[in-house]
Amino acid sequence: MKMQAIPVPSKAKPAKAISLRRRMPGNPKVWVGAAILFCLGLAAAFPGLLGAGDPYLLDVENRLAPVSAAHPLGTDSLGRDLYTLALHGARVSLVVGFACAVLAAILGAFVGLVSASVRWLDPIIMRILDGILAIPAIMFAILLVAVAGGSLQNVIIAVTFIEVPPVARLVRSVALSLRERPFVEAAVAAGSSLPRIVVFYFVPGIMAPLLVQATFIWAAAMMIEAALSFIGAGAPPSTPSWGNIMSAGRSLWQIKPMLIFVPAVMLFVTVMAVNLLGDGLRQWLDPRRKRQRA
Amino acid sequence: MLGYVIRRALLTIPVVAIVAAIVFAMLYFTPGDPALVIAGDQATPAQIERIRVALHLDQPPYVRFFAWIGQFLQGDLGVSVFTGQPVTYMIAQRLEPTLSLVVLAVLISVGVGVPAGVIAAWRQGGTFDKVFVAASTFSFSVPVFISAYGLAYIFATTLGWLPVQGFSPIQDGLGDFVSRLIMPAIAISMIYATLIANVTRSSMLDVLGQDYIRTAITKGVPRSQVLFRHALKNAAIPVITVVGNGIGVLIGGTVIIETIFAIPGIGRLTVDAIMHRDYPVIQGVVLLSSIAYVLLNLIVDLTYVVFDPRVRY
Repeated sequence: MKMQAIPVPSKAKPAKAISLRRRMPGNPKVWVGAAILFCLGLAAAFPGLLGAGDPYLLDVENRLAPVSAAHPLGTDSLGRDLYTLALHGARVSLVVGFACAVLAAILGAFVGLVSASVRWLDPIIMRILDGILAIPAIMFAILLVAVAGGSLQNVIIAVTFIEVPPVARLVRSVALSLRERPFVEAAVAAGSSLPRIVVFYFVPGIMAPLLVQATFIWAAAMMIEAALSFIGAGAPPSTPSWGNIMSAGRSLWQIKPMLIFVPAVMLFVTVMAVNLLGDGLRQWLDPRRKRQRA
Repeated sequence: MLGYVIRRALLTIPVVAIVAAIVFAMLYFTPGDPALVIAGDQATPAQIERIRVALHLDQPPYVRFFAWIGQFLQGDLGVSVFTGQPVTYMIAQRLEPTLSLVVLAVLISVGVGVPAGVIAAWRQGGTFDKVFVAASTFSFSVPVFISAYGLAYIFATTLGWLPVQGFSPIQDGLGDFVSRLIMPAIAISMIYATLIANVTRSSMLDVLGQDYIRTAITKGVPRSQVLFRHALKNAAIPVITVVGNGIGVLIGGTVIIETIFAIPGIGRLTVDAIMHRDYPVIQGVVLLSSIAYVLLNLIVDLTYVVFDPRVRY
């Protein structure tokens, strides 16, 4: 019994020659995550088709209305239809998350590549990144939004700002290890210019880890957006975001728990879909890590 | 050893200086007059003038930066625009609940996360491990709103076992202290504990595959001793690192959790400061929490030497 329990390092290393196309169907996480996101994306893009009304419509006569045919999930303290709000919240959350992921990936890649290629800039950039990373993320976002004012645009800028340093560090470390590889040394010896090496050797090399990192930023950004709105440091209170719905329902949640749980569960499902996608992508694109979180 | 401690401690000074510069410089990303923005739309000229003077906006930036740094080094973070009290005083008053919350959360997370990770690694591929891996993707995605309100709904509203909210200092009795703090601490720990458990598992997997573990098992060392003494001690460094780094997530989480559970701590202070656009308070909280975070990671780095005597710098 004791002997069987010894974890033997897996000898079955996946053959490197297996094409991406063959490995893809083997990772259900990517497909499950993508499918959930696709449905949420459709709901967010066309909430009207799913029976959502006007998220700004205040039906003062029907405040805190119970579940009914007209209001499938009831209404909030201002008489807004909770079902409508929840669907429109998906729009806000997905847009903020996606925008932050794309912006942080591009900016982070740029900073990381500059840091890895321009030797004299490297220590300066790294120290600044250290400084930004030393500030707890949500605290920094609060500071940025408090200064710049609460709007969705500023939330996106703030989250992008705090997510750039980890991306830049990742990209830099990948690029630095690429620099030592023989095929890059060969290119240098053959007289390739620095921009050429960055574009044709570094950029393709960082794509896979960058993509994985971007999905995790997407998930983190949605959580931070909800947190900022919840504490009143996000989009203006009238914006139908999940954080704002919860913030408005905070004082009444014991009377009507759905005011909290509907947006919270929506956020949970969305974040989990993105995390599944990211987890799956990581296992798919990086076979070395497979044994760690198989 | 002492030389290493001093050198490592000196390394934190530039980081703290950069943090201070960033926190200070933030004020200049404001479009337009910072005093106007902070005062809000309904401010009277007198209020705006008071903010301008409180923030020393009537002086050039470099003068202000060095004045601000000089004051900070003397323990002065300025005066709240809203209450008129010194920021350091306001923060000190709110320190206890937040500190209690964070310490309890760390204890819970390490107490659950490390053993869970060790057992999952020991039985890699077994039932516990499979459940563990599936659950970790799941619990990574749980927003603090679900864990917090979910716990409150079950244990306070429905079962009535625990008070819904509030804080009771430890000197007023341990029972009240724990019963009010246990739900917020568990709620805030979800993602942090998952992080610790995952790192423990993967670090243990690396160590368990090594020859000396097999030797220990074949010579008949009891299983628990192999796991928790031979293996865990060598797998400890990544775990300690994530315990330190993850504190940042906890500090951020306190802002939300203190709002949900009405705990009068630093997080609640921050939220109130946002509402009143009390910029000196926000600045002070961000700066001090960053410094606490940096110092904590300094301590974490220093403990490496305890767990791995080979570490010498």
